[in-house]
Amino acid sequence: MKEIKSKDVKKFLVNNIVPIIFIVLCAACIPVAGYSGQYLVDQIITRIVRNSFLVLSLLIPIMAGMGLNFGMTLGAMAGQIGLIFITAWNIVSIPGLLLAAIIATPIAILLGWFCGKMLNMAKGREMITSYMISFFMNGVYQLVVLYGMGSVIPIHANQVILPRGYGARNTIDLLNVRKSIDNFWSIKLFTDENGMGGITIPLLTLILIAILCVIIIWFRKTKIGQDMRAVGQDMEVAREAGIKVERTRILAIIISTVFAAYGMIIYLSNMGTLNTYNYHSQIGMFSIAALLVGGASVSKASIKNVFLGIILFHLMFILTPQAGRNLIGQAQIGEFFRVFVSYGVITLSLVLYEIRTRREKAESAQTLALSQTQEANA
Amino acid sequence: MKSAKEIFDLRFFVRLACIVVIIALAIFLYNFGKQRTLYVDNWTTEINGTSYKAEDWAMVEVDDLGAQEYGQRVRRGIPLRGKTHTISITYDDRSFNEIELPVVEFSLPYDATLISIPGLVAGLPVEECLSELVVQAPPAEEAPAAADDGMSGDAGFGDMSMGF
Amino acid sequence: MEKVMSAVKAFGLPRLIITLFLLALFVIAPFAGINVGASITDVLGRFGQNAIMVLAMVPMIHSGCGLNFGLPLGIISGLLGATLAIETGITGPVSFILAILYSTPFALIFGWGYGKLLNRVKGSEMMIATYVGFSSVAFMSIMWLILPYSSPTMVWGYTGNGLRTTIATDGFYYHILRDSLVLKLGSLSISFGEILFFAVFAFIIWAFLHTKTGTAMTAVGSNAVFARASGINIDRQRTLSVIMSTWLGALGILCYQQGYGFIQLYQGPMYMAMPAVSAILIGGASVNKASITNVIIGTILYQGIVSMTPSVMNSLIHTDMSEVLRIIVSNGMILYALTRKTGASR
Repeated sequence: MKEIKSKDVKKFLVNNIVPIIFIVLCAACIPVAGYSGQYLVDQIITRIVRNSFLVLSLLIPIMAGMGLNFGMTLGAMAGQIGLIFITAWNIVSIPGLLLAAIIATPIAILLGWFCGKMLNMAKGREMITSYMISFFMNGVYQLVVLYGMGSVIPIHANQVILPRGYGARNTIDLLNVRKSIDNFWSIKLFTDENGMGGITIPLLTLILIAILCVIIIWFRKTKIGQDMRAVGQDMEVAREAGIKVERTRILAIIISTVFAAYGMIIYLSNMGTLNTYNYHSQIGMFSIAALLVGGASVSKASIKNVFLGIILFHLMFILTPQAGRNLIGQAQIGEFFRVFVSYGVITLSLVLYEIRTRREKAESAQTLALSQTQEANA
Repeated sequence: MKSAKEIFDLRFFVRLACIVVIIALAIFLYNFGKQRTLYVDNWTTEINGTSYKAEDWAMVEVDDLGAQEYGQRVRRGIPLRGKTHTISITYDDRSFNEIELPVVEFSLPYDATLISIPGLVAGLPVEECLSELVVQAPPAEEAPAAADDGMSGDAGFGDMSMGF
Repeated sequence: MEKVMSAVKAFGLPRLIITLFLLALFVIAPFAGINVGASITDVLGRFGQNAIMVLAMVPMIHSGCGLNFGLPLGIISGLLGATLAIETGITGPVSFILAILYSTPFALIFGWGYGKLLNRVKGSEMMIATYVGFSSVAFMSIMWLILPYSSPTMVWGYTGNGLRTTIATDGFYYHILRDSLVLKLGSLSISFGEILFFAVFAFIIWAFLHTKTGTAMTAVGSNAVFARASGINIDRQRTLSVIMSTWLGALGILCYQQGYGFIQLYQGPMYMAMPAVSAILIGGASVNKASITNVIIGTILYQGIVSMTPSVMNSLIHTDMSEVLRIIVSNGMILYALTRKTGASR
């Protein structure tokens, strides 16, 4: 009996090694960094608000068995293009963000459709392909934004276009829409007498995120959601059951891309500045790393993973530079360290996933062989 | 090949309606959310060849954003959302009588519009008191963006770890 | 007509377009006021600089490990060798040999570990290789800061610790191959030193692939089931190929540094795999098939476009869009290779 128990513990540890490493890491860093609990909670809430929409957008392709959608970068690009337009037109606050979302949607659908088509041509290596698509599209995005805007696309606003007359600026100020969703309805807790500090809870954004979670849960139960899960389980079986496999897969990617575009709009409206040529390429890596830190794998991810992942990953992000400064006297090491951790986590999760699937395959083959020999004996 | 009847079924019209509604919403949002700046201006100005002297003192309220005092040669920019707005002016005449002008409604024709108080006080129609303010381009604050895909290797770690 | 079509198909449409594009560039160049001799010199120089890194793709493709997106790992071994060689303070050609010698053990150890890892994740090597490369670059970024290097040419002047982001190879092995055996014809100068250096390694790889071990490696890549049936140790062959690729990567970066003139540390190697991968694909390789010819053609085409487009474009339309075009072409090429049906067996 006891043996089984220790085996269970070991299995639990192996299956959840990434979150466990992170919990230990964060626990070790908290006293070293020396931040107050209140500050940390406030920061974590800010980051949940910023990032959860983006990370949630990764769930549906995983459900459809297409792995981690590195192509979410495409959605981020669409969102950024929407924001560039509304900034150039000077559309402010929530109407501005809504309009940005409306502009981003068709672009995201188009990009998602392209990505889905490509991934259907590269079944079995969706991840590396979606990764290369994000690189390729980054080139196209630069062509459009850096050379097309102002020369082909009629945008001439000073706050967006470079002085040379075409091309978007490196950084675009989003003051017009900054925190407009967050400040629409938020409450402050534990503030001091000057109304400073404390914990800010932006209710409206949290409600939006909750709605998305509900949509995802509901979506799993719809016909198309069921189809996606079937395709994710086994493409051939699904095809025989009459499911249009290719169409379902494209749909999964389109939905993910559109959500990523909205997520990017929420993220950037919270940040207040747009780094035109950098943010979209980083956002994919960080969102994926956060999801994996939450204990998700290439084939299985839930909403629980999303929030646990964001909390742990961003706790590490907040803590390491300060911990590095206090420990070694160099904040730079902390920064390098967190980049290393982001990449390392993705590597570790991918490797562990592969090893686990292979072992499971071998085990099922063994049981199959065993049952066959038993049958033969009987 | 699908027949026309198959293509133009109920589903098609529902989708068409959705798209139309979304486009209408987008246009509405564009007009409703567009921010224009109104520069309320109390300088001596020339309109249609006549010169109007700046008022010594005036109280001006745009929409219901609170009244503000304007001395001579004062110009303030007020960011406004939407197109149609109102302005109410109270001013002193030469014998220090406070005179309140009737509330004037106007719409903003430019992204940066100048509205002249002396002109309004002189009783000119509001359209003639509006003019476009040409804002000088802000000085070139940054070098042209480098095409940085991260492939060239100089998209530093500094970028990657910035305030995420 | 049919014949032409099948020839085009065999050559590959993207490759044909790229070749024609490069030819067009060379035709336009004189009219745009560009010295063709100097351009060819530039292309050949770039070829010599980059060819070995492209060659590093070959062994892994042969053994069925796919495109070596983990090239940064080999590059890091090369960087360790280079920095150690400079740390000794020995200047001149000897430092190049020292750098090769020092980087070799690292390449062997890293390659061995990397190979073992890839053996456990058969089927999704490329994705994991990419991230192994990235993680190792990020890890070494920390190491470059804290490793106890002390040579004044390398460490930051004002703090006295931590290596610089770029280190000049001047005085050590700058242009050690580039300036040897040079043939000058007017503005055209051909450095046979570099080309010979590449030729030696290309020949070694070619010869190796025709030995018994080499054919076994190819067998593993082309048909693993058959290879296992004929008693070949698959994992050993794969590990060997990964070690070779890693070592060639280390050599490749040293060769690159001698031509380029600088050692790039920290995030420098991050994306260096992409140009190499896309070069060999442009040369006609696929995810599971590659030859030395692919390497040579691919490197010339890729580097030709990279060096010719900016100058031609700049003089024609006064806008330098070449960087963006390069991104689209090189990544598009990788994408094309990944989505081709023939490569979809793995």
